[in-house]
Amino acid sequence: MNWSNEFVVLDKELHDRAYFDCGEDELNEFIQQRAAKHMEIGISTTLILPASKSLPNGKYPICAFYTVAPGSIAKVTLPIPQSKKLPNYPVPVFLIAQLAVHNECKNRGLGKITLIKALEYLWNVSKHMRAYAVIVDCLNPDVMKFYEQYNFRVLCIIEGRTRMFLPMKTVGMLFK
Amino acid sequence: MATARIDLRIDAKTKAKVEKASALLGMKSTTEYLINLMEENATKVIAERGSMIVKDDIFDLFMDACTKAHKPNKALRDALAFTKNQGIK
Repeated sequence: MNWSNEFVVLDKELHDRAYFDCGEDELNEFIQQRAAKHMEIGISTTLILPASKSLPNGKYPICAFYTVAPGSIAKVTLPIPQSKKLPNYPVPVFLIAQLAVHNECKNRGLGKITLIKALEYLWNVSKHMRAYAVIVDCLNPDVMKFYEQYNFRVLCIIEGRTRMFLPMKTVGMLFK
Repeated sequence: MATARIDLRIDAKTKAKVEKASALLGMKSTTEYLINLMEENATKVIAERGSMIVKDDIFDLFMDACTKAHKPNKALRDALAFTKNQGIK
């Protein structure tokens, strides 16, 4: 399956969600059942890379997708007034909530392309609404290795998953 | 106005339990009980999704790392070059 040359906002009328298979049930289920709904109610935004050719039903297969959402990070304790330079209140961050590549498109570098496009999207958003970092939750050790190679650092372990981050400043230096 | 519908199937045992709980809470109907539950839980799920709370020292390390951000490494710069090369918008 060959991909087209532009990531576009998911449209269930144009894109075939049922055909998507990345080998991870959680991600398949997300794009098939929740991505469009979450966009409709404003939880997250999903961009997809359609295939260059449509299926017999007239819809385009999804070669890869990423889902971004706003978030925040705060401290456990209530802020205590002190002379620290760093703020104690919740700070805004961006989440790459989902990112997946179709099995038929794997091993051709589409994972890194999708990551770059997600970072670029968030970099553009950050020109209007600042955030400190991009956060990802790693589904498994392979995913963690994927992000680690690009210098994402471990923030914490949450519900058995490693949460990693890349400073927005670093993203800025990449695209400037 | 409540005009949208959710239809659901439920096993008899759970249904009886739900009815009992809604009666104990003095709800006018099982529907009222379920709507309250769903509303509360959905709000919580949505809020939890994006708002993360971490230990103080982790937060400080995080802020420090974001302030003194490292330069993008070679792998990331190569990934950008690769993406540009492929001409993907």
